[in-house]
Amino acid sequence: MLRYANPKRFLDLSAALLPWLWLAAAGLTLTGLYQAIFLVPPDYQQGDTVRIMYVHVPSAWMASFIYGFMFVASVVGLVWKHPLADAAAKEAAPIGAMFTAVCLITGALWGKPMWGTYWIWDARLTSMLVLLFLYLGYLGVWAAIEDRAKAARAAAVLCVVGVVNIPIIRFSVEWWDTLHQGPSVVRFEGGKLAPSIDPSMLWPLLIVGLGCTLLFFALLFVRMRTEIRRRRIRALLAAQAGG
Amino acid sequence: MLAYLAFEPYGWFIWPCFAVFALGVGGVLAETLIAARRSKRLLAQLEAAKARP
Repeated sequence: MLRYANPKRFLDLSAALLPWLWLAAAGLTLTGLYQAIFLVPPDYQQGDTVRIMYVHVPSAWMASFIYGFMFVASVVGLVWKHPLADAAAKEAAPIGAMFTAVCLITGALWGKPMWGTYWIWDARLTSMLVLLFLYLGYLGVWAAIEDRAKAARAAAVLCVVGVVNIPIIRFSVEWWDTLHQGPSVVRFEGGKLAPSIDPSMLWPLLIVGLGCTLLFFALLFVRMRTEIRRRRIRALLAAQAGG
Repeated sequence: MLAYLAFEPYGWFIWPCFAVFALGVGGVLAETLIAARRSKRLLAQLEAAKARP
């Protein structure tokens, strides 16, 4: 793995992977969304509003997954000072912030017809809002500190501290009484992990989720390639200024 | 078909969700590709300038 984390190898590998990633991400996401709109039956309780699940739930998954990815990259950056780790965490953050915002907005739009309110300060909604603030704080640290090494270190520390929010998001619906429903895609039943929604509704959700994951990596690779070019640009400008 | 896609009485909540998703993903995608193109162009200019005697 570390062999491919060398910037030159990363550039070669990502150039080869990107066309396939874009193709698979677009194909899966669009197929899943088509199924969500045209093929998925209305839910017996929620009616057609269940279609909101196909953008809300994958966005929620991605919001937590990307923060977890940033946590791993931040730890690698802090411990091994790997040149690509900081870039990976930094470039993942805007994508994670976007998915978190989409999750909160679509959740509010789903909440109004189902709960009668756009927003309530229950544990799941509040911990997702805290996640958005963590993303914005992380991006703010990078924007506020001019010295890139110091910014990387401060942002990584913030990310590592903030990871405590991820299990809170995951288990908030079990630890506290929340208006937000409990885990409803898969559940532990009789000691086994089992899907709790009909396959006709589950498969499109998994397809959109996989599409969004591949989309994240496609976006991340392009953004990291841009960051590597920016580093080269800064080095060339510094050399020009120096003589 | 239009009657189906109206998703009455919830269409006013469902379609904005898909629009928000498309705007979010589309926005990050556009920003990513524009920044990539700009950095490519600037790097090419700087390397060309460096190569000139």
